[in-house]
Amino acid sequence: MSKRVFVCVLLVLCLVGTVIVTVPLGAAEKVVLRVAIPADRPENKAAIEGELEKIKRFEDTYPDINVVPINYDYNPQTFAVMQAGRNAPDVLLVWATEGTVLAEKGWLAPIDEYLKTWPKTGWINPDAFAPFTVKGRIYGLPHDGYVKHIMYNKKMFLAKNVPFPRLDWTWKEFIDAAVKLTDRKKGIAGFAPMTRGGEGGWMLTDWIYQAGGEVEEFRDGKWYAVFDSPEAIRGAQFAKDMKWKYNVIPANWSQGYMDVFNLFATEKAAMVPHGDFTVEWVINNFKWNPKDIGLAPMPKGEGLKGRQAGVQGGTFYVINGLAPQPVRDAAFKWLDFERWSDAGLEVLKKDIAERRKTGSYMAMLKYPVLKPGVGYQKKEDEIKAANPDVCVIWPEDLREYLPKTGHTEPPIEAQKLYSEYLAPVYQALLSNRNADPAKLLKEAAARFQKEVLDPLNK
Amino acid sequence: MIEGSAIPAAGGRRHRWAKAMKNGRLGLLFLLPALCIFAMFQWYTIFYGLILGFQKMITGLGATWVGLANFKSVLSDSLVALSFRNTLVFVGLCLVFGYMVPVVVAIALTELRHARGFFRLAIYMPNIIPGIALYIMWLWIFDPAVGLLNQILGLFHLPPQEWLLNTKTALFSLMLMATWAGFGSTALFYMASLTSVPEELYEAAEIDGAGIWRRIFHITLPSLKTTMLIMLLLQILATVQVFQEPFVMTGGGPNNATLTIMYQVYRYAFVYFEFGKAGALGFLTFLFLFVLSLLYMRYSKIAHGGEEV
Repeated sequence: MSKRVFVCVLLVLCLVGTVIVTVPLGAAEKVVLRVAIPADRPENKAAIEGELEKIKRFEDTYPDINVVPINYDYNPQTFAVMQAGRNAPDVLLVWATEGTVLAEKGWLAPIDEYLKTWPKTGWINPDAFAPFTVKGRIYGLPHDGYVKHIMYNKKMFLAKNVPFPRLDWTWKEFIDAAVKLTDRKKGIAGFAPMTRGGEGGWMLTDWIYQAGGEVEEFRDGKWYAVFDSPEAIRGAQFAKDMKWKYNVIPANWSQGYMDVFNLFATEKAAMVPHGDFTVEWVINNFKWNPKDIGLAPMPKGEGLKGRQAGVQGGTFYVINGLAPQPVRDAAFKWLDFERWSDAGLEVLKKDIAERRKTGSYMAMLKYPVLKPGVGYQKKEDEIKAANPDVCVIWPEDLREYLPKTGHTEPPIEAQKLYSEYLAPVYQALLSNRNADPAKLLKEAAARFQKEVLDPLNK
Repeated sequence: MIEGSAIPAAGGRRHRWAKAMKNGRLGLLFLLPALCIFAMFQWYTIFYGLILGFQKMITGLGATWVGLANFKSVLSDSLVALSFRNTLVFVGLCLVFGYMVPVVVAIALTELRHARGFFRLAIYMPNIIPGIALYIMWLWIFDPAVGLLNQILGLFHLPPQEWLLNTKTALFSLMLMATWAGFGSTALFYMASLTSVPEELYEAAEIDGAGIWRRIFHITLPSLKTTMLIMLLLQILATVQVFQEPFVMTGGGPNNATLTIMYQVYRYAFVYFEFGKAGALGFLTFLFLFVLSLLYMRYSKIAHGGEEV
C-alpha cells in the first residue's frame, strides 16, 4: 500500500515538474526586461506612476517584451550584491562618477553600436558622453548633467551686508564673504566643505582645478599623477587656509556629502558646495523659500592659471553587462521609447500637478545634455516657466555660465584617487596647522603613480 | 530488561528515548539548528573568503584564479600596513586604558554595602543603547565646539581638543568610547567570578588584620586570574576586529588615522568591488585571530588544570 502511495506521489511530482519546466519554455519568446524605476518614496509618486504608464505603452508597442519594473535608486554597494544575485535591473540610471569603475568591471554593456544608427544621437552634446567613454567605447546615455557650484543663504548675506556673488567672482571675494558670514558664537560657518571619505578628495580637486592644476595627465602614451604641481599646491594651500588662516569652516570640519546640506538647511553654514538635487531636498524637506537660496559658480582661483572650475557630473542610463543580447536590444528600445518626446513632456506636466498638490517644488539645477536648439529642451523649459509656483527657474545667466566652468573627473580610478589619496591629504591639512601641502601632495602623487598608474602604464 | 525479549514497540521506543536522553545524545539534536547557522554564516564564509583570496571575482561574471596575486597586492598596499599599525595601536590603547576598568569597577561594586543593584544596572546601561545612537551621542560629546568633553576641559581652564579631528587623538577617542560602551558587560563577568570566591577567605584575612588593599591584591585579584586571562584574549580578539566605530564616526580619517584592518577589508569589497583582495586580507586577519584563539584555548586548559573550559 505504502509503495503504491509512494509511486503515485512520484508521478504527481514528475507531472508538476514537467509543467514547471515547459511553461516558461512556452513563454520564452517574450523577452523579460527588468527596468529600474524611482525608489518607492512619497516624493517619487508621480514619477513612478509616469513610469508605470510608460511601461504599459511600451508593452503595447513591443508585445514581445515583458517589462518588470524594479523600484531602485543606484547605490554602489547594493548594485554589486544585486549583480551577484543576478537580480539587478537590466537598464538603470547611475551617477557619472561610476562610469569607469562599472565599465571596467564588465558590468555595463557598450551602446555605441546602437548610437550609430539612433536618430537622436545627433541631438546630444558629444562632450556629454565623456564620463562614460572608456577605452574608446561608450557605455552610457547621458540623462542630465551638473557642474559643482556654490549654494548660499541669501538671508545671511543680506543680514551681514555681504554682496551676492558675481558670476565671475574670485577666491578673494569668496573668502571675504565667508569671513563676514562666519559667526563662531552662533556656530555658523561661512563655508562648509566636504572633507570626509571620498567626498574630501572630490572637493579638493575643485580647489586644484580652480588654481589651474590637473590631477591626471596623459602624455607620450602614459598616465601621470600631476597633483603635485605648483598650481595644485596652491589649491591645497587655499583649502588649508580656510581653517588655519581665515577660520571660516565648521569647528567640526569632518563632514560628508549630506552633512554639509544639513548644516546649510539648519543655517549653520552660509555657503556649501552643491551639485544638482540637494537644493530641492533643502527646499522641500526643510520648508525653505526658494527665494532665500542663491546659486553661484565656483570662484576663480589665484595665480596665472587661475580659473573658475567645478567638477562636472550627472546621471547616465546604462544597460547591464550581464544581460544577454536580446535583453540588451530590448533595453535600448526602452531607452529610445518616448525619449525627448511629447510623452515625456506629459509626464513632466503630471509631475508638476502632483507637486502642486503636495506643496513641493521642482528645483534641481541641471543643465541639459541636448544641443542648444533641440526642440524638446525648449518645450520643457516653457512648461517649467509656465508653472513658476512649482518649478524654480534659476537665473538664465547662471545656467548659461555654469557649463563653461565644468571640469571632467579624472579618468583613471577616480573613486580610489579621491578616497585613498586626496581625501587623506585634505584631512591632514585641516587636522595639522603645520601640515605642508607640497609635501603631502608630492607623497600622495608618488604613491598614486606607483600603485595605480605605473601598473597601468606597463 | 532482557535483550531480544518480546516487548511492546512503544515501550521499546520509550526505552531508546530515555537512553538517548540519559546519554545526552538527544541534546546534540537541539544543537543542529545552531550548527547549520554557524556552518552557513561563519565556517562557510571563512572558507569562501580563503577561496576568494585566490580569485579575481566580479559579482555576476564569475571568478578567475589569480594565484597569490591578491595576497601580494594586499601585502604591498601601503594602506594595509597603516591599517594594521592603527589596529594594533587601538588594541594596545584598549588594553592599557580599558582592560582594567571593568576589573576595578567589579571589585568596587562587590565591596559596596548599599545600592549595589542600582550600580550594577547603571554600568550595564550603555550596552542596551543601539550602536548607531551610541555613536551619534559620542559624536556630540566629542564635538570641538559644543561637545561635553571640551566643556568639562573648559571648567578646568584647559584648551579644547579636536578629539576625532586630530590624527593624534582620534584613535584614543574611539578607544574611550568603546571602553565606555563595553566595560559594563565585562564587569558583570568579573562580578560573577567574584561570587565564587569563598567568603571565608575574606573573613580569615580580616581576622588576620588585612586591609582592603591587601584583600584585593592577595585574594580578589588572584581569584580573578583565570577570568582576567580569558577576558584579555577575548578583548584582543574583539578589538582587532574593530570596524563600526571608525566606519560611523570618522570614516577612517583624519588622514587614515583610524583606518583599521576590517575597515580596509570593507573598502576593498564595497567601495572598490575588489572582492579577491577583501578575501585575502580577511583571511590573513582570520589567521591572526586563529592563532590568538589557539593561545586562548591553551591558556584556558592551563588555567583549568588541563581540562578544557
